[in-house]
Amino acid sequence: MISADAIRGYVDLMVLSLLREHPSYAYELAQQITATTGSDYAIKQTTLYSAVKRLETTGLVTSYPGASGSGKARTYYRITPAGSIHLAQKVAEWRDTKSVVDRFVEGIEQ
Amino acid sequence: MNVITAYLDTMFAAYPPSSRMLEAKAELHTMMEDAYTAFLDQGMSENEAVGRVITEFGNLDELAAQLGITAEIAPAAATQPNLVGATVRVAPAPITLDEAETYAHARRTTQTRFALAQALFVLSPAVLIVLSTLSAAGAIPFSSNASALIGVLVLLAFVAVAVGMLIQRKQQLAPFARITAGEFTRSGAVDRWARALATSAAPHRTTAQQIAIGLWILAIVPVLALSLLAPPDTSRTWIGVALAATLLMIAAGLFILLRSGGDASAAAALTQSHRGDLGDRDEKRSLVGVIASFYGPLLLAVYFAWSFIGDAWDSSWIVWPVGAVLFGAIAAGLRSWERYRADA
Repeated sequence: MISADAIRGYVDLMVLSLLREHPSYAYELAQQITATTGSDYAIKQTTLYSAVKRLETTGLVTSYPGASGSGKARTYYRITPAGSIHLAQKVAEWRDTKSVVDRFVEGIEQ
Repeated sequence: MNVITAYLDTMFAAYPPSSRMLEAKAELHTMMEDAYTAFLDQGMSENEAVGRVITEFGNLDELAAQLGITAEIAPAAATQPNLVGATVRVAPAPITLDEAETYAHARRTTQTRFALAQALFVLSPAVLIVLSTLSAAGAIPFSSNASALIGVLVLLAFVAVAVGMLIQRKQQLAPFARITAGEFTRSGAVDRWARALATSAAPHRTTAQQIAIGLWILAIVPVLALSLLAPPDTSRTWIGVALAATLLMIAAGLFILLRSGGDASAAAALTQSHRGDLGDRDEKRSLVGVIASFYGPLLLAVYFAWSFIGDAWDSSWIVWPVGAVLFGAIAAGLRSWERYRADA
């Protein structure tokens, strides 16, 4: 189980990568994240909501009123061109981070 | 569903209702509703679904930056230990919501073991009572001594198993000693979370209380029925079995009641006020505990002594209802004395 602190900086990356596929609403995003992480990480609703709002404030996603599969009104989020660029930067940053940390982790027994 | 609305109302009550705040509340409400419906579809009960939704809610402080509210800082945690003299008490660190959730989870998973152990304590003398009364009446081919030996061995085995369970539970809860001892400063978010946890557990707990109280009231029926309805010889032979049935009903009630109490006790531990004189409170708690722990066996001893020595099986059952009322009076007296001492 990964702690909320360890993964905090990468919730934005998760949300943007899911929105790259298609626009979505908050609960669907939470569900997709949970489906992907399984028991390794449980995202809190406030964590997801604050990430989505942060991305909206910085212009990386935009929101629009839509309807879910069952016809209920939901606020949908769509990735913007700036969001796609940011995602590419975050992915590159993650690869570098991972590679740097791996150099220290190598050879340590579990 | 009302619990979810009430939970959100409580969480947002501390903040002024700006338009951004209302928007956040509405969207979080929709998310929680969706999650609740999905959990119900997965086959969870309403209580389980509400519990899961609240567990997965998180912490409003995370939204502070987006909503333009200042993150709450626990009032006493800001005390700077370096600036004040060494003799001044520094408030203990507040617990985080993560810690609170892990603690509540541990309480929930160990609660069944705790309830079972208490039930085993109550049940432990049952075999001894059955065997000694049956052998005294000549209904089984064992001498009184052999019956007593078997009964005592079973009693010890029950107690040993129950003590083992309690020790195991204590070890599992050891990482949370700080919470159990009240060595923390309360914070708004954890308080609200704990209150919501207690609220979501309340309906289940009320049902358990009703069942337990019903069982305890009915527990007197086996002894009463045998004493009043059966002929004296029959009742003398079978009184031990009736008493064991009574113990079984008391133990079952205790098990049902205690097992349902995990969330409520966790919430109570999380919302207890920090007090400087912890020793004092422990002493008070142990006073009631000590009286409760010797009261049951004492009552049993009185019952047996009167029954055997006075050969009064017909009338000695009166010990039980009188004993129960007396214990209620003692407990109430102790409580008011403790309140008086706390106020003084």
